[in-house]
Order: sequence, then structure tokens, then C-alpha cells
Amino acid sequence: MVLRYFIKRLLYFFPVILMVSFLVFIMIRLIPGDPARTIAGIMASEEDVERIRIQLGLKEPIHIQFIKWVSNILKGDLGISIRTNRPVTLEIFSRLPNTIELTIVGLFIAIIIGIPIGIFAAIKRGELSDTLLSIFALSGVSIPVFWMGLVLIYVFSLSLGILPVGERGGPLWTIEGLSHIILPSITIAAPSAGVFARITRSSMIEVLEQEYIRTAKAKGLKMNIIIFRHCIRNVLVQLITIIGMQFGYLLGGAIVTETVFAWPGIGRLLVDAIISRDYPLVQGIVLVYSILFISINLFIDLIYGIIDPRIRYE
Amino acid sequence: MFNITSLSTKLTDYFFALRDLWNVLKRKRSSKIGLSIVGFLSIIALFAPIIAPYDPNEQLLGKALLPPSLEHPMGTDHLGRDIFSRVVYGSRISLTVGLLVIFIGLLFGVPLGLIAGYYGGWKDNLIMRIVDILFALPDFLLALFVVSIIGRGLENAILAVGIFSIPIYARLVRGSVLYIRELEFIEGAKALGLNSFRIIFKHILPNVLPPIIVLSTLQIADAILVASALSFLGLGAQPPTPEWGAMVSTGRYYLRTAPWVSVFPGMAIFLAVIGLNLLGDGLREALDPRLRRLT
Repeated sequence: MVLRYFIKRLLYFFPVILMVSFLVFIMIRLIPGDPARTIAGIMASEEDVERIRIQLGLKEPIHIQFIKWVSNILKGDLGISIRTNRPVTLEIFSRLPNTIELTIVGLFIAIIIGIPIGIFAAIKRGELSDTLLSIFALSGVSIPVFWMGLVLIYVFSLSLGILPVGERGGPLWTIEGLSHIILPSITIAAPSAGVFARITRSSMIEVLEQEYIRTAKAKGLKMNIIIFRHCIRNVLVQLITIIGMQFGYLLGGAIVTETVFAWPGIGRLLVDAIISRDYPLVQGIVLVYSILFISINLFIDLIYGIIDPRIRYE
Repeated sequence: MFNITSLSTKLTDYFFALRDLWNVLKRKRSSKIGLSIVGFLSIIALFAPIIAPYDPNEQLLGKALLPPSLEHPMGTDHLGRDIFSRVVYGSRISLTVGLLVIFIGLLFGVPLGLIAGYYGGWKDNLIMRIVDILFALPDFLLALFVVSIIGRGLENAILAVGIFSIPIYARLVRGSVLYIRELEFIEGAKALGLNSFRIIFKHILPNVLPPIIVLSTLQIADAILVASALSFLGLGAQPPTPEWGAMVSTGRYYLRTAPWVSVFPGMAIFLAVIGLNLLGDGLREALDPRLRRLT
């Protein structure tokens, strides 16, 4: 049964990847006017434009172009960056680890802040502490990430001078590396922490009203035991899907956060590539981002299928 | 056929519905706060020329980067423009962005959801597969992607964010229609021989409205956040537009000496978004009794 579910999910995975790569492929063909001219800029000579046209393979029939594009991707070739003249894969994979590092640390912070807040607010439902924590959680969801980053830089770097302004400081196990990641990871975590807190709170409240909790209360179990042994486990199962989704949002948030903190990841690379019209690089990053995001969701689905057998029968 | 009696009954119905909604909303403090914030911002946006002491783009000579004072409550930026006036005018931009985005979402998403949910079959399959693809990617990435194709600018940013609110509406409406479609009064309408168009618009749509209203409130908040982030990155509103995200971005370079340039516009975004989210949460409770016990 588990195997059949896995195969079904995997079969769903490949068409989505193919559709996304098609979207990314046609992107460059959708640019209004002559894409090669747009990329080269108004000042470029006709030879330069022609060079780009050939470089991008725009002179061949469209279906041939698509087949070439897909087979190149499978070979790990995403083309050449127009701005740096280096292979797109090289540009991306030299920076991808930094983005993943920031995202994972951010996710970790969001989980350890958000979930306890949600649990606590649910237990104290209707009391003042619940109201305050709920406002705190809503603030996390509502705060513009880029602004929060600047405020943190102003307070902790420029005014107090205790944390560096930006950039990556090296591996996480060094003090230098750790001090550099604190502000960006808190910034990137804020919206997700808010989401975790809000969802944990409402699913906790739902679980607390279930029959089996009433039974547990009726047989005289202590409230702490009920909460830790019965409620939190059920809430965590529901949270797994949300954690997967948030991972994707954090990847999105990385685009802004990396720009604010000059973090050398693919998010900032994407913004630079868009501004300088480096379309092969934009294509490559969007593709890598998408595959990453879809793979995480697939992974979460698979885990969910193992934990919750009901899912497999749908 | 125009009929004054049926019109007045309708208006009375709407009036009572609004009154009921208000009664539920005012019961919770957080919804009241949300409604006040949104109302406050709407008034500011509406009367911006009266409230703002200066022209938002007027460059006051020799008055660059002044700290907040009585004359300039939020200080001035590097070009000597009054930040308070720019923030006031910025409310117009952000609210318009939010409204235009949900307009795009409603215009395309609701009919698509109605068709998918009511007819089912291949129409449903086709629409929902496209929706799945759009949901397969983070929305901010998609918005950036579209802006990189159609170019920078506020209009393009609105379009990009709007396109990706379509699947959200389509999915929500479809889900509600699937449920309503099976209810007895729809069976009755079908038995009476009403045509599908009439059933969808007169009998199903009004029942889908409550979740649409809730979603729209939250979507405006989201649109303001995403569009201001695009502007912050230099991909949305271009200078000298007094857009909040773009203003925060300008202030980045003066953060050490003149933090107010970034702080106040950012605060405005935060306030608008939190107000809309509070209102959205309140409306959700008011319109969905099932949720009321959960909060």
C-alpha cells in the first residue's frame, strides 16, 4: 500500500516538473519585442545581438528549441550567464548552499518560536496571555520582511554594534559564521513563526475538544500529561504539511532577506539577474527554485503517507 | 424588469445582513481594531490632498534628511521631500494595489471556480490542473518571474500579483460550490427547469460570497505585502512614486544617519497589513459560525 502511494506521488511529480520547465522555457520567448535585442540593450551592435540570438538558440524552430532545452537540463547544462560569461549551473551551485543554510536555520527558528507559542496560547485560550501571543503571531504574518531586516540592522548593528550588518561570515560552527546568520535568519523566520503559531493554536484547540481528550480527563490524567502525550502528537502530524509549505515560503522570503543582508545566495542572485536582464541566469534560478520547492513538497507528502495511513487511501 | 418593491426589499435585506455582520464584528475587540485601522487608512487615502501638508514630490531646498519635527512629523528624505506627506499619499497607492489585485483575482478566479465546481468533468480537470501548477510554486517567486518577463513597474507588479490570486479564488470557490451543489434547494431549482446560468448566478454565487469576502480581505493584505516587496527590490513602483516599499528602499542608504526615511513607510505597511488581517480574521469568524468556537 505504501509503495503504491509512493509510486502515485512520484508519477505526479514528473509532469509538474515538466510543466514548470516548459513555463520557464517559454518565458524568454514571451518577452515583448525581440528578446535578443532586449537582452543586449539599445546600445548593442547588430553583431552582439546576433551573437546572443545564436547563444540562446533562438534561430531554430520552437519545438527543437524545447527538446534541446530539456535535454540540456538533463545533462546539467543551463546555458551561459550573459553578464559573467560563466556557466549558469556554476553560478547557481556556488551560491545554492548559502540559501539552503539560511532557509533551514530560518525554518528551525520559526518552529522553535512558533509552535510553543501556539500550544501555550491554546492552553491559555481566552486569557490575556492568549490575546498577547495571538497579536504577536499576527504581527509576524503582517510584518514586511525587508523592513524588519532594516530595523534589526539599525538596532543591533548600527546602534548597539553587537551584530554584523550583513554578508555571510563563514561556516555555522564558527562564531563569525553564527553571528552573521542571526539577524537574517530571524528576519526570514518571522512570517513562518507567525503561521506556525496560528495554526498550532487552532489545531490544538480543535484537538482539546476531541472525545478522547475528554476521556483522558475523565479518567483523571493530569493536564500536563494530556497535553504532552495526547494533544501535541496529534497537532504535530497536522503541522508536517504546513512545515513543508513554509519551507517553500522561506525560499521565497530568502529573495528579499538576502537582498537586505547582502547574503550571497541564489535569491539575491535572482534579483540581480532580473535587473541586469541576464535571462539565462533568471531561467536557471527559477527552474532550480521550482524543482527544490516541488521536491520538498513531494518529500513531505511521502513522510505524511508513512505517518498517517488514511492519506494513502484517498 | 425594474420593480421598485423588489428593489427596496433587496436593499432592506442587504441592510439587515450588514447589521448582523456588524453585530458579530463589534463583539470582538480585535475585529473592531482591524476595522478601525482599515477605516482610518481609507479616510487618509481619500482625503490625502487635504491631510498632507506638502506635495509628496516637492523637494524643499536645503532641507534634506531632517529628523522628525513639528514641521515635518516624519522627517524629510535625501531630496528634502516631506516623508509624512509621502506616506499619506502612499496609502492611496497601496490600497489601490490591493483592490486591483483582488479585482483581477475575482474577475477570473470566481467564474473559473464556479465552472469547475458546478460542471465537473473535463472542465473541472483542466482548470484544476492549471491551478495545481500555479500552486506548485511559491507565489513570490512567480510574481518575480512574471515581472522579469513583462518588465518592471507598478502596473506590471499589480498584474503579476493579480494573476497569482486567480488560482486561490478558483480553488476556494470550487470547494464551496462542490458542497452547495448537492444541497436540496439546488436540486429544487434544477427540478423547476431553471437554466444552469441562472442557478449558478442567482442561487450558488450568493452562497459562496461569505468565504469570498473573507479571502478578499486577506488577499488585499497579502497583495500589499508582496507588491511593496517587489517595489523594495526595485521591480515595482519606480521613483519618484511615493510607494511605501520603494520609500523603505530609498532609506536603506541613509539607515545610519537618517533611519526615519525607512522606518515610517515600513510602519505604514505593517499597520495596513495587520489591520486587514485582523479584519479578515474577524469576518471569517462572523461569516463562518463553525469557526467561531475555535477562537
